Amino acid sequence: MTAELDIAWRCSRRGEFYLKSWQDGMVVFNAADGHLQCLSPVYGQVFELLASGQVKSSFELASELLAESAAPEDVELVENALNALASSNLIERVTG
Amino acid sequence: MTSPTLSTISKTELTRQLQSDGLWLRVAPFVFQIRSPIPVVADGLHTLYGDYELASPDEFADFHITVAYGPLHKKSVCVFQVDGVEPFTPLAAGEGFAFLEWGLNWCVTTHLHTWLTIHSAVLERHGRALILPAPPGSGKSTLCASLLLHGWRLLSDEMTLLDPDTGLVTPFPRPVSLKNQSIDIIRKRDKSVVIGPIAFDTMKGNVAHMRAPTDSLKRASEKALPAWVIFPQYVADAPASLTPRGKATSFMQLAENSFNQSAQGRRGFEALARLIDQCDCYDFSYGRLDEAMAIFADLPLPT
Repeated sequence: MTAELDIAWRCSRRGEFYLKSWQDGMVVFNAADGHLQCLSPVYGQVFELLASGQVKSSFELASELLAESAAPEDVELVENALNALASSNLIERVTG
Repeated sequence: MTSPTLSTISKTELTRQLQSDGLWLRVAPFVFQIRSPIPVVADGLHTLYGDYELASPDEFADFHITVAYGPLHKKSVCVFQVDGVEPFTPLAAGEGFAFLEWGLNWCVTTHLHTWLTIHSAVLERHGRALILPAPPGSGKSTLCASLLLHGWRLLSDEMTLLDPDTGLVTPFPRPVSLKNQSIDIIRKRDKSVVIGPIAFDTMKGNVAHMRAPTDSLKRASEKALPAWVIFPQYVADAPASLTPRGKATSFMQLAENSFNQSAQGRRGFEALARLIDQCDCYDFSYGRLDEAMAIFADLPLPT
């Protein structure tokens, strides 16, 4: 867990993104290139937190989403979301 | 004061105008100048556009269209020209009227970005619009034509013109494109339906157009607020089934059917999001039109 706490995530291009959430997920519009992406509800919630300007670790994000201290499986779920969002070029890893 | 309609001039006069300075036709919300020496173009316009107003040659025309014989004036093929440019490869001359219809669609969806344009049929009942986005072969136009025979008003068979500022759909009623078996299916459902010239063996099979209802043309200035987005799919012999679907996935599929959502940027995104917000979204599969009509007759308004 310690190693993961050292890794934070952020959305540095949040000014380019417009978001719209519904029960079945979130649509993200990238105004810079006109690209649309559809995220599952959980991925959408994670992205929304980072797109609001927060820089957080997976543990912090999981705890904030659950409104309580996150269990390892919750953190793993959030990490999966973070890796997917990073692969989609929506967020970046911040180390150090 | 309303202008005279195309039905007030003889077919001989129509042909003469098409072959000289052109026919100036108001197809709300646009004006087209149309020229063509090809008889099937005159046939189609005479049969299907009788209720449309003639515009004055002094008026601004949104598009100057010519459906001409092909290269070296070969009478076996025809070309579509808009403002002197030929955006498509030639087609058989027998497809001349269908080519005009396809070309008019292309002109609007390619050049006019006042609206967010979505590839779909769109109809209205009690002031609320029903959007039927679908790829070719989904049974969209057959469903649209049948709904017109059951009291719905035609806004368009081919595209939704959504005003991004007001969220209202601007009508653009024109003949409904029917393909292959659908031509006879619709003919049999109502003997009074007027069908234009058939273009045989096109890339879409046999294609003909059904005349737009007169009432839809009279009310072409009445915009409508969307209430339903329904993705139709014809499945042979399947029972009709209307299934609610999620709004995020509906947004994505509607965006795929939009001609210019991306070009409209944030404005287009927000307009599409508002459209989805205010509509109920469904998948609809059907194999028999009577069952389909029963479902659409009872379509509930969004809560």
